[in-house]
Amino acid sequence: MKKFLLGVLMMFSSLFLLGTVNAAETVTGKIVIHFQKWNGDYSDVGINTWSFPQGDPLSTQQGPTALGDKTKTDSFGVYWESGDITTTGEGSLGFQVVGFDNVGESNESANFDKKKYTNHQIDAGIIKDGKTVHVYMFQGSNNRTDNEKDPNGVVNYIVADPDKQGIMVVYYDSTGNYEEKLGVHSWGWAEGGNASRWNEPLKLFTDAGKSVAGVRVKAGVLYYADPVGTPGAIVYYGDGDNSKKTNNLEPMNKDNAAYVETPTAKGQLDIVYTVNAGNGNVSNENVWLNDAQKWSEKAFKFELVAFKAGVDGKDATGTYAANPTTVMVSTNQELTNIYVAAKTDEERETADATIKSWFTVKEITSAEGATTETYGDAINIKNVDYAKGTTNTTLKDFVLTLGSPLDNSKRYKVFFDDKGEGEAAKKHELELDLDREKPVITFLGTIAGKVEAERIIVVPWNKKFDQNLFPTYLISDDRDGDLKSYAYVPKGDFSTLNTNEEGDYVIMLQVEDSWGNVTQEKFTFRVTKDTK
Amino acid sequence: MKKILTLLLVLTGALFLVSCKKDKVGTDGETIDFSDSYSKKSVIRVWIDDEQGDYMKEVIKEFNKVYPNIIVEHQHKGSVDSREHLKTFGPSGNGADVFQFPHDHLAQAVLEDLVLPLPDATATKIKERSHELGTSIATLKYDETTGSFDPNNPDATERLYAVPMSLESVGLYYNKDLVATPATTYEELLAAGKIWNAQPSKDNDQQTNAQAGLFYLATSSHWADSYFMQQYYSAFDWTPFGKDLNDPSEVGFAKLTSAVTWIRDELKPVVTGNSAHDSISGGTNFENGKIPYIIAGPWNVEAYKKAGLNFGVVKLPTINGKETKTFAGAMMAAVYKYSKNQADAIKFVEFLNSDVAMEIQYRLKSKLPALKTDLLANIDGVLADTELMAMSNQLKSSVPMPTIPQVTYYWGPGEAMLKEVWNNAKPIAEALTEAEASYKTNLGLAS
Repeated sequence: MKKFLLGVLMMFSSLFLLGTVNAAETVTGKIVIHFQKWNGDYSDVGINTWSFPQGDPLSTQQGPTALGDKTKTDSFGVYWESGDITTTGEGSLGFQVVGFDNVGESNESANFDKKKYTNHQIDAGIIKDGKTVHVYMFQGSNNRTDNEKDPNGVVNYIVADPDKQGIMVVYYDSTGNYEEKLGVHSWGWAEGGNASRWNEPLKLFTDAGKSVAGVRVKAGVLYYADPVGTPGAIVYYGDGDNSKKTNNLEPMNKDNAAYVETPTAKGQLDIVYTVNAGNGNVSNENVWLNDAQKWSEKAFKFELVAFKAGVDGKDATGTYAANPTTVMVSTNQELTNIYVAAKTDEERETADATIKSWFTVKEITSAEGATTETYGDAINIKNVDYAKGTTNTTLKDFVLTLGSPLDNSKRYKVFFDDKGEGEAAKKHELELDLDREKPVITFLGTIAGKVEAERIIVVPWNKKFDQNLFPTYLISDDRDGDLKSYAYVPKGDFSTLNTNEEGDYVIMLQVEDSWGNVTQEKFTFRVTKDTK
Repeated sequence: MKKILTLLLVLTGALFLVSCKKDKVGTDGETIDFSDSYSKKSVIRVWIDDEQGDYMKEVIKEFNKVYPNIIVEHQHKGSVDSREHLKTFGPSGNGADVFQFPHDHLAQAVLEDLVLPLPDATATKIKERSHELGTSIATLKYDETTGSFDPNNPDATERLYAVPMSLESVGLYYNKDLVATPATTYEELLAAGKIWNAQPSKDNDQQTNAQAGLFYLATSSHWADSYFMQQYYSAFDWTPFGKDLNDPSEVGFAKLTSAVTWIRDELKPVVTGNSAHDSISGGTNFENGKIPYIIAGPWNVEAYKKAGLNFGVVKLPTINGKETKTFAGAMMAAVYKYSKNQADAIKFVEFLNSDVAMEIQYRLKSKLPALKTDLLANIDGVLADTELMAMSNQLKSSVPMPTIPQVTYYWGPGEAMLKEVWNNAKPIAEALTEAEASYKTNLGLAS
């Protein structure tokens, strides 16, 4: 009996070991790569790939013409199917979606400089033996980590489990200000897809795409449980009802905006598109199922990009007044650079005047929160700077130089209108962010926290001044950050000290932010024999 | 008596007053005007590609030891973005005073009126210390009035426009676990490659290395990249735009027949077989330790080190006994032409050329300082860095990248020509004629 049991045990062990060995062996499977371009125009879309098997339908570089019928369309966008790929799971398959110029002509060629829509090394480990794995890529995604990497971090592709059914939740906030705790409250999904409790969001989202303005698009996958039941999810950031970005998303509820009448086959995903329409939003009017077009119309509607302060050595971005006479304007879409497209000096002059005519700046004269906003006269715009060089065919950043300064105790709006007609018209307005706060000087050491009259530093009479007695301080500014090294003592009544004569000497420290807001703080050196 | 007493009283009083006054006004102290020691500083903004900011933080700290009254604001900016953004933000004074860009952007940046030619005194200082390849790439002969780079234009002035910060070139990287002594000739390398390619693959003995895509020699780019392919062209005595790389009237594709024939008949069979120019993921193969050789650049070193590879770098092999000369590239820093603080900006670019700044760049960015070879000894660690020294050795025979702006129109036709020959078996003469025509068409469209 012992021998029999030992035999059975050995058989199980060898089967187990065999299984382990098999897992490391080569597998053969297919992949289907889905791609979504924000404007829904796929006429210029081709691919550039490497490491695909020789002769594979997706191998090497193929423009739209060469791809021909291999490019198929569905509600997500376009997709391409590979042939059988045999792999040990090591390494990767290079896959770039690239826009081609001169499509259909003899000089059809990939425009790697301006139209690299995706840039990936797909992990060969996603290929499953005898299965077809669906990979979803959004425009702007790039998971490269070499010299082609996205400097702001990986924007990945999404892989659907070939053995499961589920949904992908896509979420976009055009300001790019995604909350730190953003995720979903979710219930009724397969293991790993459910939030632990309310106000503890499941961190579902990863960066999956990037708008033309450089704002990340978030996405994450939820798989149905078995049996499916009535799963649901709410996009929110875990701070109560007011942090809801959507109401319940319930694919099995026929009255819900995310209702999936017939789920896609195993291994594929239905897509629930959402946009940020403000906090506490439970209308679900910002939710679309499998309708990329409606979502992108809403998500990427022409807008002036809102101000975002610069941090850690990065520039401030968006639309704002940098100083009283300079307004930075940034758009969320690339606009045709009609100046560079112009051929003659006369055409360039006209193009320049046209670009200038797109902008107006006015004071908001009505009170904040007024039902109807009223405006003062248009402020003279002396100049509009944009990329006039020889290679920029599109524009999205402008600098307006004003003829008269803005007053940071008032409010202003910038208006953009390209005078276009119909759906092509680009029109938007945005209140300007002005630097209304002065820098703050904070003294440290013995005079920390004291009012001006009490900021007294005792200096020994009839001795050389000890530089260590000069007070230490910090200076911060809401926009410009640390301004400590910018402080100075203006020459004049509050700049000198004579340690030969007893008395009080008031010294003034001054700092200005880039807007020109000035902060002055005084303290006193008291020269005295009595230094006890 | 009364008078005497009064006089004594007055005298004592006066003495008392004098001693009082003497007691109140010292002589050992000092008068300080803090507006001198805490004066308003000037500010310059620099756009340098340094995402983490640690490199610039150290450089600025050292710069401020020499120039304490200049505040340097660093903003991370990708070196390709710098030029683009300066066009928009520069004119209003919201751009950079100092910006960085790669070698091939210089002529365009000058043409776009972005770069201040460096004063003669600065140029002299820089030329005394910089590697000749770097200064030759950063020097242009330009006629500002007509926007002409024509070397024969009598009104054109030759000036130094930028400070070379680092130099780079591709080289031959090899896996020391697979190759004991690296090849010194392409004949030797390709012969060994044929044997390797035909051997069974280690991972799957049903396939040869070639069938498994594990070709002996790889490129970290692709086989139609003219920057990488210059080594082969040079071995057949060819550089674009003539011997001096500055004649924009033609690229000179017609003279490439021998080089392209060698590429098609000798190189291609060993590096891709019948497959396309970009069909092999050579970078991944080399990183995974599966192939012996790759043509790569210093930008790949970090990945190879991370992958734990036991690798080395050597000079590229010869072809028929002739040197394979690579293009030398450089990263450069320049002063914005309309900077409101040109004097301080010039001080900063000069400082970037100092031993101190170069040492920081080497230590934190692993780049080869663009200094004369004998000055490299001043930079701790560089001479002991075998990879960088191999590149330095490669650079000894490199040719500088062409700096005329028309070089922009060379890369596309150059790549298309090789692709046609490599992938579509187009007759070489036809492909070369088409490439020259394509260059001229692009040039015509651009002017």
